[in-house]
Amino acid sequence: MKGLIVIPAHNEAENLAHVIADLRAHVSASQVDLLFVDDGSKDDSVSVLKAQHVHFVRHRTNLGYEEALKTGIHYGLNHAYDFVGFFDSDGQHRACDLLLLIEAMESGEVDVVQGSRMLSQEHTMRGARFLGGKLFALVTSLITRQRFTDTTCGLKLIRRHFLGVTLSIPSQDMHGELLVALVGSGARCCEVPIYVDLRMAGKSMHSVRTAVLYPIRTFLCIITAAIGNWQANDCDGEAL
Amino acid sequence: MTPQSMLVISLFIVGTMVWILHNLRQRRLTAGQAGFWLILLAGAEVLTLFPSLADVVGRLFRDDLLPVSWISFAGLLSLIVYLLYLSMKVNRQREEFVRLVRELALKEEHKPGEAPDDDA
Repeated sequence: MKGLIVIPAHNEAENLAHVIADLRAHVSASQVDLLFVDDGSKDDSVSVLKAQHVHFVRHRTNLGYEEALKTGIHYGLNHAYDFVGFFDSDGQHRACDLLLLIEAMESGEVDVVQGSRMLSQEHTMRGARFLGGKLFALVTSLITRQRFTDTTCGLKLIRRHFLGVTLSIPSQDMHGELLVALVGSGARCCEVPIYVDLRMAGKSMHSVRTAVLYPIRTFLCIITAAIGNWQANDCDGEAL
Repeated sequence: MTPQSMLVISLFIVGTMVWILHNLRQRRLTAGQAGFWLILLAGAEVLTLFPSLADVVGRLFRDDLLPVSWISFAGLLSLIVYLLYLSMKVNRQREEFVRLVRELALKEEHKPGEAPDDDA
């Protein structure tokens, strides 16, 4: 079983070297391949990726986090990987946690492995973000009738059979709405406790403006995912 | 409506129609978009020149709608429908754009150890 870990990056030049070093130190090339997706960065991200000799593709313009993930998914489908995972490039995820997710996926008992900050002893979510995260998790749990503690975590793995669902749902960040659609299509999901560090450098993609729009969009996507009829397939027809 | 008001409104409408045709010629508007606005303006021109028509239409409704009410409502409805149509069209174009950017990205894949290509 071989997986592809997609690492979307937008203006993350300051964090990339650390993220690459962490992944190289913990993740074996026999387990997974790494694919960085530069999402039209204006800083030196591309130079860093080249200097670090990593495998990457580059959007000529910024398309957004979700589209960068989808580019990685298309790559995974084109190259017959057994599963595709997402790992953030801002230095908040730990590569050692990724191993736990891979282990769960390799057990063959689940199709989707979701990282959860809430299951770990300590987490860095505070204030509105914490409350929002709890609320999204609650809504997702109620709809799927399965307990989720953290749906807004970007660290997750999805088995190939269900990648078609990720490409077809109306989504904004592939969080709660994705889990709703995946459970609806028959995927077996589980959560694995992970630790998330504070962002090391650079700016978050979320701002005051997105903080207002984000919950509205997310709930809209979750509702759309809940009323849709999502079918898993081997998604060969979806590949670009 | 006084003849002077009719003249000013008619001139404004005709001027806008000429401007739309100019934009169509300059390919800043498509024929479909220009056609929509020309039909809307032509309707406004007819109602400007023959205001009694608005009363006739108003009387067709059981509640005997005031001309200004149904014209405002019809105008607003047309704009909402057209804006919705444009939103969908913009989204279709965006999806095509995303597909092309993605296709290019996947074609220009950078593998470690490969010679650097020209990133123009």
